[in-house]
Amino acid sequence: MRIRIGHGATARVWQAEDGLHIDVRGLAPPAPMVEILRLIEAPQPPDALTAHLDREPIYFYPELDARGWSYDIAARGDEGFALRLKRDAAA
Amino acid sequence: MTSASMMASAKGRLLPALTPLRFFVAAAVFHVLAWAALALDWRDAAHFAGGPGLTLAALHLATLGVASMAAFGATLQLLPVATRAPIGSVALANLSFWLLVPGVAVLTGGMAAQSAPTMIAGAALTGLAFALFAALTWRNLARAPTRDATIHFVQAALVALIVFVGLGAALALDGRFGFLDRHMGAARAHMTLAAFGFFGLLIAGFGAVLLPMFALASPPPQRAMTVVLGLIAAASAVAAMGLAAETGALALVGGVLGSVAAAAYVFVVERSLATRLRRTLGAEFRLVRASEAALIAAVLLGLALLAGAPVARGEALFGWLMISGWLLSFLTGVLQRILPFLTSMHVKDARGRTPLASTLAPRLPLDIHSACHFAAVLLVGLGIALDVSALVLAGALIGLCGAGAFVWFALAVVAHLKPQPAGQQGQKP
Repeated sequence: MRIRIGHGATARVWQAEDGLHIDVRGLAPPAPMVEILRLIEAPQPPDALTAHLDREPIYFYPELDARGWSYDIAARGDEGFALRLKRDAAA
Repeated sequence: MTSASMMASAKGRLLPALTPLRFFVAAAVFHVLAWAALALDWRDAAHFAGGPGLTLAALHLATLGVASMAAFGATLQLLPVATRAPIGSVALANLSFWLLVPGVAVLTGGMAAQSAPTMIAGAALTGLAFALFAALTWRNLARAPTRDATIHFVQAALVALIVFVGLGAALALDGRFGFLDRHMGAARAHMTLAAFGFFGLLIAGFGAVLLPMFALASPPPQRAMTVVLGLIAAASAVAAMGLAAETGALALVGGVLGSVAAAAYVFVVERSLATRLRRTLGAEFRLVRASEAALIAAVLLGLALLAGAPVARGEALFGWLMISGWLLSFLTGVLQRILPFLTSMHVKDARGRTPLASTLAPRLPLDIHSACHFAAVLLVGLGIALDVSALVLAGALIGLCGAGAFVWFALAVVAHLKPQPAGQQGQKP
């Protein structure tokens, strides 16, 4: 599935065995942060997902904290950066 | 894992906290001095048409002291994020600050005292600061693995910088040696390239990232930003050439292009903000939207003046709308988000997490600043339009109070930073 972003750019979202994934690589800032937030603020948000980014989203962490989501680095390499996100039980 | 542990690695991408923040605090201090200089020259400000004196000093305290300080700090911190390449040398970035602060102080002091040698000395220091900034920025752009739209805006802004700093140096030397045939034409070209070419391109380029980030909105599409870039660059170049050569028709074409560029920029930004996740925009957007209105008003007035419309004190009003209405409104609006945002990256809350930036920003001084800023822009603008000096004085004093409140805010935010051992300071991104 592709999600249309703003006026043309797209993020790729797919369901895998280990859960929901969103790929926001190649998008200009702040689109990566915004598109992940769109997913976790959807009417029926997932409990967990894996986000694929070009780099570590250092400005994104306080927004996730504020929404009650925890996060962990799933992968880091030349291909980009993967962040596993999980909604806290209390959130 | 939450931000407590992850920020340790994240900080490797940030400059040391004080590198960008000292630019922003200095901008807040020069903001106070700009209003103070205007208040001291309240009788003559409405009739300002160039030439050394307190009003010229106030103008340069606002542009070089506030706008350049903010532009240096923001570029040094944000450009590496856009380019995904390190800034290169933190020491040289810091050196540009230590050249720019005395440079602006000496240059504007020389303008206020009407001392050509002092102005030349200040212009030399300021020119060195700009040269260092341009070299650091250019090297960063050359190393960039990506070609986002922001990068092209910064490249074009650097070209404008080289020309407007060169023209500024020539104007300072002309005050002593008198070699320019068209001093006022060169001064108008210098102002156009500085305001629209340099600051305008940086505001449009970084604004396209920062404003959607503040509002949690999708950024404008690259194609639209390329059109905006082309329009601003063409408008600045054509208008500056027409003004320098005192060729009215060419300057008028530049004015038309500038009006289209301003409208396109506002349209693209507002269209982006319409996609936002935050339903209620922060207070900073009142200033940002006021800046958009002032920009449109300034370019339309400029266009009317270029077309020969007989507007009394039109040039002074144009300069007021451009510098105070557009530049200062935008910059103070953005700084009230960037300052706590960058500070938050270097502190932890009681739970060891990176705090939300809004929790570091005291509301009262920002409310005082906004109220004073709007009142001051309006009163001084009316004072110029109606030729009532008392309104200029009242507006300048209210603006001074607002600028004082902004310093209060800036110091309250950076007070959250705690000294760290040398080895734990932020590193090169």
